[in-house]
Amino acid sequence: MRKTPVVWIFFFIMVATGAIYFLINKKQSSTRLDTSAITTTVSEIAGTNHIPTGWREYQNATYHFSLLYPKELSVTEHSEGGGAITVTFQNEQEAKGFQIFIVPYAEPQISESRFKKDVPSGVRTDLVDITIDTATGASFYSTDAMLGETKEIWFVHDGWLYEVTTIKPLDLWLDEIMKTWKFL
Amino acid sequence: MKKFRKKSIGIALTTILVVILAFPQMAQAAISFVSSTCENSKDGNAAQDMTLTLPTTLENDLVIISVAIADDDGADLDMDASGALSGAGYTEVTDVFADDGGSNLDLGVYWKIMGSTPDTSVTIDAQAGNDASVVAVCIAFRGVDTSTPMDVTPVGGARINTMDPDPGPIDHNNPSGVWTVIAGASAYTGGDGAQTYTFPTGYTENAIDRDHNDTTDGTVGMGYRESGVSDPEDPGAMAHSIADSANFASATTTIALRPARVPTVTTQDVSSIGATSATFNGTVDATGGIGPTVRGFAWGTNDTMVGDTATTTDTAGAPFGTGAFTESGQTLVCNTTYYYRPYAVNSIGTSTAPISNSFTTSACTTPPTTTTNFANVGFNSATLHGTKTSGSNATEHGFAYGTNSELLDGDTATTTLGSLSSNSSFSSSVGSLLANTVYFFRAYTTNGAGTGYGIIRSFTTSNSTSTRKMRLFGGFTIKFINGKIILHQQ
Repeated sequence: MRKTPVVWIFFFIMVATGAIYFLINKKQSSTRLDTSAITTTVSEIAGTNHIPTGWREYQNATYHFSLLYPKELSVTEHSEGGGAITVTFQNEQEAKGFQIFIVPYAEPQISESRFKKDVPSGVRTDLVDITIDTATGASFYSTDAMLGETKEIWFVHDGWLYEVTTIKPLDLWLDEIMKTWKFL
Repeated sequence: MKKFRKKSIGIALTTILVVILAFPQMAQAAISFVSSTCENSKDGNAAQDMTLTLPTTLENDLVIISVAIADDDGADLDMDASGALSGAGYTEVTDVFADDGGSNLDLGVYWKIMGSTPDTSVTIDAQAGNDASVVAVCIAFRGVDTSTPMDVTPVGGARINTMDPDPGPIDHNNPSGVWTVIAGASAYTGGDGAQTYTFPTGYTENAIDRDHNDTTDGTVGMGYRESGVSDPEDPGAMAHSIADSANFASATTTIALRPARVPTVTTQDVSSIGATSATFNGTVDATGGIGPTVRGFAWGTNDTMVGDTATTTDTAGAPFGTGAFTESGQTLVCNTTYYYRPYAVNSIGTSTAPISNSFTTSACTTPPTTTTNFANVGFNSATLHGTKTSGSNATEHGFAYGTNSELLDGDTATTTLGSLSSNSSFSSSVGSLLANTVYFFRAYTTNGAGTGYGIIRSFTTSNSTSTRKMRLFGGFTIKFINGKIILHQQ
């Protein structure tokens, strides 16, 4: 009878170890893409305590933010003129990805005119206030001619408007990534 | 924390860079071997004058020549420098005579520090009649103290009834980096063919020897030891390649070479302090044996001489000897605390003196005046331009900017560009501005006598007209099949 607690502790440790191994192995198994297309502003800081295995850090000093993203995603920056930029993080084979559109923006709140300028469909449902690092913004669903139903996260910070977009089925996946967002 | 670490590393690297740029790299005092040559008289029976080609050398190189005349007339020849060598400026080290009654030997050793046009050869006066052999060798060294290349008296000695020269011990007081040089010569009668010496242990394989065959034959050789030199250093005997059956003598010289050093420089207090000028004072207390080719002062406002250090460079009249030197041509900022330190550079390296006591330039006498010029404007940034137009040097200058038309409220920011020692234009780049917003700005310069402001001007940041483009999965069509997302390339 005295051995019972020891057996249970041993059993618990074995189960926990197996679960951790399964989760780590599951993430690592998706590493298949050549990431040579990543631009020079992307920094890989593998091996530090700050970046979990299977993730990379993206930093952009010009637009004052950083985030972590799954390492199987390729990163590409598109200059849009007028001080704006679009950064895409995507893996076509895995059908996963999101984009960040950043544009100079003087107003503290997102105006209706700005919304309609960037979302011609005008669709905005399930609007929820959210906090991204130190900024307050909004999360909502919309539609896009190319992507269909989309998940949108918009916020304003320090003179910039950030519009983060993905397809609706990747809603929760994007939420996890946005938890790593930091303003620089 | 990461930013702090990066900043610390940056500061450290900048410090290293400033030190490297401010002064030439320090170097260890060290003697080095340059090259060697040798010659013998060509006539097989009568000694004749001959030309000894010298190694290719540079200014301040030390040349040591050993000349041996082997004869059978028993005459002790005068081997002083003026008699034995045609070249000017050679100093006799030793004149050794050895006579065993059959073969006699005169060994003369000489040195010279090469000037700006180094000698390429010397003519050696044979001084002897029939049945004589004349042989000579030369070795050149670099990095030797040019004022006192041999700070202890060289040792000479003669032996008879042996062909193996045995250089005597020398007490050189053990200076760091000392090298010893040995010269040995032999006279004999049974040595047809080229002969050589085996040098004592520790003496370099680059040592050179030379022989000559006549009725009386002669061999001369020189070698050097660059490490492991004892004090006193007793080199040991040189072994001649043959032994003679009768009539032989040998002579030797042992030399200790003193290495050149970096100069020794000291700092004296500043003098003649004005509002924008001061006289820096330093002294070269010792040249280190090779005259400095550059001297000057590093100066700045940091008491560790890091960050804003400037350097004066004085080369006119070099090489410099010992003595005081000054610098007063630099333009300083009024009412500002400075530090400096002298330095001097010779071919061995750079010596920097301790940092001076601080001094503060006199009070600014005239407040500066300033104009606000224009702004180059972007969406979120602008480059502001202004000019200091008159007055004493500014201890600080820059711009104030913000959205308040009088630059009074809390959103007004200020750039600080540091001191400004001339009436000139300046600019600041400012960022994190709001798009499509009116900003106001003005330039300022200030010193102890007051602050000069330019007029307030305004600019409006641009309004971006960019609209979002959907770049995600560009070139693909998206389908949802059985709950899975499928991308097809278009």
